[in-house]
Amino acid sequence: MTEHDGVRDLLAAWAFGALPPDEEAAVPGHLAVCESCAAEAARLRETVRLLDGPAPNGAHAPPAADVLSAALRARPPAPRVAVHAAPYAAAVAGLKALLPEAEGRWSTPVVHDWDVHATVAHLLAADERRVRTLVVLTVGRNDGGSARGIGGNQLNCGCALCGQRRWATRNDCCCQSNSAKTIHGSEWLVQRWEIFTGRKCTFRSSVVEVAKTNARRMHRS
Amino acid sequence: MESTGTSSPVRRPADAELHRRLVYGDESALAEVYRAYGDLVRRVAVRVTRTPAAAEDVAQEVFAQLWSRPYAYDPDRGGLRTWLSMLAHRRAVDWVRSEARHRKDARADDSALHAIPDAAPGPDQTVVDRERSLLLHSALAELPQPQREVVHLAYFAGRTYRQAAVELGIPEGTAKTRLRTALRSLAETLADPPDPALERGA
Repeated sequence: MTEHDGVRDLLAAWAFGALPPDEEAAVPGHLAVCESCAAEAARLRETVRLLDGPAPNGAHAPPAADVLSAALRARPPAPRVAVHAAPYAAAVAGLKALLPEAEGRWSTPVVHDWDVHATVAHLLAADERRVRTLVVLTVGRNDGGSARGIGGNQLNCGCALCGQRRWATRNDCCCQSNSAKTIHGSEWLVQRWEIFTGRKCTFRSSVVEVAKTNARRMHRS
Repeated sequence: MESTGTSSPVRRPADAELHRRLVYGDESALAEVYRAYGDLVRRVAVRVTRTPAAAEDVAQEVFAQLWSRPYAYDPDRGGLRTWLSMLAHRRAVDWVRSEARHRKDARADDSALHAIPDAAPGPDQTVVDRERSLLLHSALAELPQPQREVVHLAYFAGRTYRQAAVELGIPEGTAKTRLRTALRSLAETLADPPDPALERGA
């Protein structure tokens, strides 16, 4: 590559002030002897000068705390919870954050290695009262919507959001429940699911495993 | 060596971990992101809006969006630094456009305002420069994302093109080429500005 080609390639980075010092040093010498590069350099530098714009006017900015408190008003932070409850609280917070964007993202990791589907499975394992609605919801999502209409229920996002609020309020109760009950609950869930849908549950192990993992965490603390 | 132009995936463990904590609603993660990128976001916003108070509003919007909709950012698709910088830029351009519309409406409604000069009237050149600056920033916001990412790192975040290449996981030559393509198309915008009536959505 000639010096001309080399410098020409650098001119945009040079105009942005984005050259490392060794390369920066090579530019002025060439511009002094090459008219076409000098014209290109002037044109690009003028563009950057206009991007810079005139000096800002107005008073200095207010203190930084405003920015964060405004954000925290838009979405309350996760409450401080006991160590044993943290994984569950994290799952709930993650799922709440995801639900507005959930369409087509059901395999997004939510907490640890669980995706949305596994998290939903876990949450409904912990909530027997919501099982009917939520199993339908989960199955519908899992099968890409083919379970629509099972038991006369329609599947839609409204369902997910209404369930979601309940999961959040379930948080405290779940954290107090003992590990045996959680595992038992998940197996009970799988049985009910099979009776309800008339099909073999293909995600049995994931539901039970998730419940066991959570139970071990509760047990440790 | 020039690449095909597609970014190779870069693992960003720090960004991924921060993102995870944001998703969990961990307040301290938001404070960390703000400490790391608050200045950059303001710098971008003030350069476009020319008004520190407006830049502050933009910063507020940017961090509120990251916090309340954390899944809008995907750590597998880019760094948090570039994402925040590009979001701040987009919001700042929107702010200036809507400000210009308001000013125009106000003038139309109240002809008496014609007599009142701007708060800080500059020489004519300043007014022209301000308009051209907005024109350029609008054009920058419309550039293809691969070009915008390099411009944001090189121009707003003060990286050399080599550092930008490392941060984006692309060859140095590609970063250099993208800067060149981007700056040339910006320069052409000045030479051949879009129809102002279309710009204003009239």
